Amino acid sequence: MSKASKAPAVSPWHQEFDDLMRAIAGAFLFGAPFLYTMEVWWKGNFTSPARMLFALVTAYVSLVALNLNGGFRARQPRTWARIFADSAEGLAIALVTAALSLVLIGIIKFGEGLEAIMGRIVMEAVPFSIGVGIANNFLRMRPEEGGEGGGDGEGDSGGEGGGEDWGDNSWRGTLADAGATLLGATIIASSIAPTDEIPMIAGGLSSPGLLLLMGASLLLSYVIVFEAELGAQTARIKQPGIFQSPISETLISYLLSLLIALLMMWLFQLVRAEDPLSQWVAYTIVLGFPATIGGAAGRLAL
Amino acid sequence: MTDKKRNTKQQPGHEHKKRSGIAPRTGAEWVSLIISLVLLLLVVGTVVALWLNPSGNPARFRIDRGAIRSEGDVFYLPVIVSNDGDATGAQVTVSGKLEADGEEEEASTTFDFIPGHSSAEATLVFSKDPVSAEVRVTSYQNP
Repeated sequence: MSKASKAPAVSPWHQEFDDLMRAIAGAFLFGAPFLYTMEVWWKGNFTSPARMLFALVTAYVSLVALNLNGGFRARQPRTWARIFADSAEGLAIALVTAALSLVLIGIIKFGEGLEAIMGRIVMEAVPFSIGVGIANNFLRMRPEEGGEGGGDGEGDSGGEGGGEDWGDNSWRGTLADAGATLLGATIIASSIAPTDEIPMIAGGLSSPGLLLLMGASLLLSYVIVFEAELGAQTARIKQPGIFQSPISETLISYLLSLLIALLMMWLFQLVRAEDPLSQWVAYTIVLGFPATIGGAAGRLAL
Repeated sequence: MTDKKRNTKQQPGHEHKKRSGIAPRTGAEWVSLIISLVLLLLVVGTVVALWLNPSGNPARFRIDRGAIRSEGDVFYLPVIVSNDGDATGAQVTVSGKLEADGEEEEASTTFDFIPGHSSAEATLVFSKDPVSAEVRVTSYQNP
């Protein structure tokens, strides 16, 4: 958020954009493991419309409950009207992110039956909406980092010069970031790598589909750590190292996450040395998507 | 915590986009709220429409055969199985039977799920040219 700190004031549009990005980040942090669970899609195939409505109502009620003390907005909702409105927005965000990511991994294709498509989206949107509802709890500033929300310019401005403690040793900061990325990616990748979803998803994706998935991984990684103003962000800016430029941090952490994905797949014998290169590449990109989300979460927890 | 700020930081340029002068909601928040409500209405409307018009036709399968491809002694017969019904079929088993040179040969495959109005592809493999093979769905389960 160094850009924001130079601006004299944060426009309401920028603030709204940040809030929405935080919601999306939360949705994926909580929802990614569910996205890679085929039973969720399968159950969606034969979910009756009545059950879909029930799932939507359940998601909405959970969002209202979570919005009382969490939600995704930097400014906490004060009135019931706001809580209800934020919950409706949260549900819409969950539905959109769930639908987009299901299309991205090739689970929803055009020309399929409407009821099956709606079922998959609605069932996948339930965990995504919980992620939106707890986005702040996951990702907001911790109190010791100053009361100002990340969105307010004053809160961030101290970070520009770099902390003196770290100033002489940017390697330490870089290593700490790299370690956190590796740890976060390992936690997520190790829980997904042994499952059948990786070959299933990879098998259904064409080369453009894989490229899109790579693009989405990079974008999400960037969004989670930089746009959403999450977690220990002011502290992060004080910490020097090659992880500090947003673009290079995103790229390096994506590469580290791919490395972890590769390692986990080899560990769980999803790929063997004699398998073709295309299979290695496809599986790595597919597992790299949740691994990158885990890696970004790991850096936030630092 | 930013309640006060939001009010004072209203920029003149955004003023005209505000829909309500009373609510502290900013123009940007109104836009995303309205878009969200439209999306939710669409989703809920679709689900309710599906509910009110239960076209409860059971699963009904149609098979389209693709072009046969041969490699060495092996013949590949691609098939597309379409479910024209409304209900999802689970464990949809497709069998191909071929009688050639007095011998009977059978190839089969099973799909985990084929939802209503969706299709799935598979390939049956034979050792002789399956141009005269009889391909049909032999069984499925109601999930």
